[in-house]
Amino acid sequence: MTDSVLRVENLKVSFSGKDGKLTAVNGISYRLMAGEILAMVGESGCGKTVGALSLLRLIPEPPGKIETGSVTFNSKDLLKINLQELREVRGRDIAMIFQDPMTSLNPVLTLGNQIMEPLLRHTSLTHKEAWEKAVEILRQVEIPSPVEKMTQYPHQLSGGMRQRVMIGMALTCSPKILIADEPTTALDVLIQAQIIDLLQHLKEQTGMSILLITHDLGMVTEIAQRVIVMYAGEIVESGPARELFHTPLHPYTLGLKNSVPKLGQKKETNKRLVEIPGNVPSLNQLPSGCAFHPRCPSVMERCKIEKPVLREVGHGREVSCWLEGNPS
Amino acid sequence: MTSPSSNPHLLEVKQLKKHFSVGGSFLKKSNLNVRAVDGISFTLKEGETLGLVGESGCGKSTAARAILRLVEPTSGEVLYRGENLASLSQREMQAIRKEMQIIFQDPNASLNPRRRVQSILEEPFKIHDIAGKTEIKERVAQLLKQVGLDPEHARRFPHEFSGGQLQRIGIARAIALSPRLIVADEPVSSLDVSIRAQVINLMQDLKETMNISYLFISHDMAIVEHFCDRVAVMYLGKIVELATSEKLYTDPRHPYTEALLSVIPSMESGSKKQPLLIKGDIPSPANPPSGCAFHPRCPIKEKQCETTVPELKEITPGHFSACLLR
Repeated sequence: MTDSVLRVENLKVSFSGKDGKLTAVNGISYRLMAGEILAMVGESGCGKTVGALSLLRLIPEPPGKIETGSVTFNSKDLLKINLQELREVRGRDIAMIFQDPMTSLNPVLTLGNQIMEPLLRHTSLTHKEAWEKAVEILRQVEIPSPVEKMTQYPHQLSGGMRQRVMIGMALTCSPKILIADEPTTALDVLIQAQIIDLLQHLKEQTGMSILLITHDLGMVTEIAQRVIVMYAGEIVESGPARELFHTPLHPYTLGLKNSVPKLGQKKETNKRLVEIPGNVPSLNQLPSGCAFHPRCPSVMERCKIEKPVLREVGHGREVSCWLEGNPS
Repeated sequence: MTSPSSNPHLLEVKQLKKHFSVGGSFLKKSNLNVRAVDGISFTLKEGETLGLVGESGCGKSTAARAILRLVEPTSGEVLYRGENLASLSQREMQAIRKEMQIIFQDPNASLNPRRRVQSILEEPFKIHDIAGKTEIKERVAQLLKQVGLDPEHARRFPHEFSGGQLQRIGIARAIALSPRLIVADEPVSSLDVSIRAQVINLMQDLKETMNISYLFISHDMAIVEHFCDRVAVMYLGKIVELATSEKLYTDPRHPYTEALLSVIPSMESGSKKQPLLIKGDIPSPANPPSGCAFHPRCPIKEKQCETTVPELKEITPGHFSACLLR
């Protein structure tokens, strides 16, 4: 395997509020390899977004707090360096795109100004050069009549176009890592396909690594090489995308896979979907032992008392479950 | 007026239109019309589930609201058991509303945050003046059990529930008066993957035990295939294809349907078709393209598509499509 560009060790993030301290991300470790798309999947509240925001220290502190851990990029710990240094990394080496393209662009600035901002901040380009570069970027993300768009405002663009602009902005300084937090969730299906295609295309062109955060399992198998499955702030399974969904090792991954109806599978009359019973636990009332045990179909006595740890099982796969062999 | 038994259709929608005027001002009447729903027709049989799919802005939610007369249709007819809803007075309409209910997309926004679940679920009984105080209490408890919640939950407020549970309460409210027809407007879109299956299964169970017909609005093609007997695909206010879900998914005729089906990612390796990437965005319904509204994005368009408006034609029995070329 190639080198890792980002190494996250034992990252733990908590939020303090009225009900005491909640641990949103509870000691996760992973590596992002050069030129790969790594997907992080899980349901809402599993800590995937907080985990990603923490990489660039973008969570509000307080109430948030990065308790422990390290994020190593270019042999520097992003959690330790001072803000000045961090600003050099943000947007230049590691860029981020957010879920909602409607609210993450500034409505009172022209698109041109917004795309040029990282260029003027991080490079020594003059205003004119930056303008030309920005037009080129808009062209790269396949926006029609880019010169005209430079002087337009976000409200003049559709959701899909705005997401393209967001991606363009993230790419201005040719980052090594792109963090994409649910980049297609707010978009229509046909537009989603366009954006996924664009991301894949850009990845191949620039060789950057992408950390893709999503709850769309179908999309994951489509474009990601490796997948991390999160549940209640922890990694429950990780491995190569195809294998992971073909033969899930954790009952939660299997449940996620089965609860999505499969297209083209001729429906038998009255066939029900396989459901995962219960709800995602709230962080202030986490179950004892394995956090998934109250919803798990293969639950054993041991699961209620002892918490499983993430263990390697070969072929680049890891799972945190007491079950030996495949779940059913 | 026909008697209910002689009419096989629970719902018949004929050339339903809903136009909104935009722009204009207090003194100057607007002449710009957004044709949100532009002449759709379909039928729904007793006990049947019809899916209505399409991208945002295609008019599927407006269609739902116009059918229930939550917005007044511009023109067209909606026949419920042979009775034209538009001709009914407010009072007659209210009586019929008992039989037709709606489930909304966002349960957070559709339940009053300042009222307890008890009072939310009592409302339908009170409005229609059914049952006395003690009986209502029992009925609410029974409703909660029916949707898989604890009767104890009646004392709580909406914010004390998760999204999936809130949607169950929304469903409980819809089934309170034993309706014949439920319009479900994206009922699972805002829910987590693992919760979606629960809610779909619940709706399926209710369909079987209470003999409910659904008009199921969604943009999730996989869930629609699983849940619906027939499917109508909408594009820019019009139905472009309508068929049984089996036919629509195995033999789509309209290029738009084909595109929608091709972009659904599959989790099985190898079974993936090449996605048909459709260029551009959905046009504004205020200024729809000439001819076939889909032509600027269509991969197989020809010259005639730019000028001729295609009609929805029956290609094979029960399979309708609106494409000039197929």
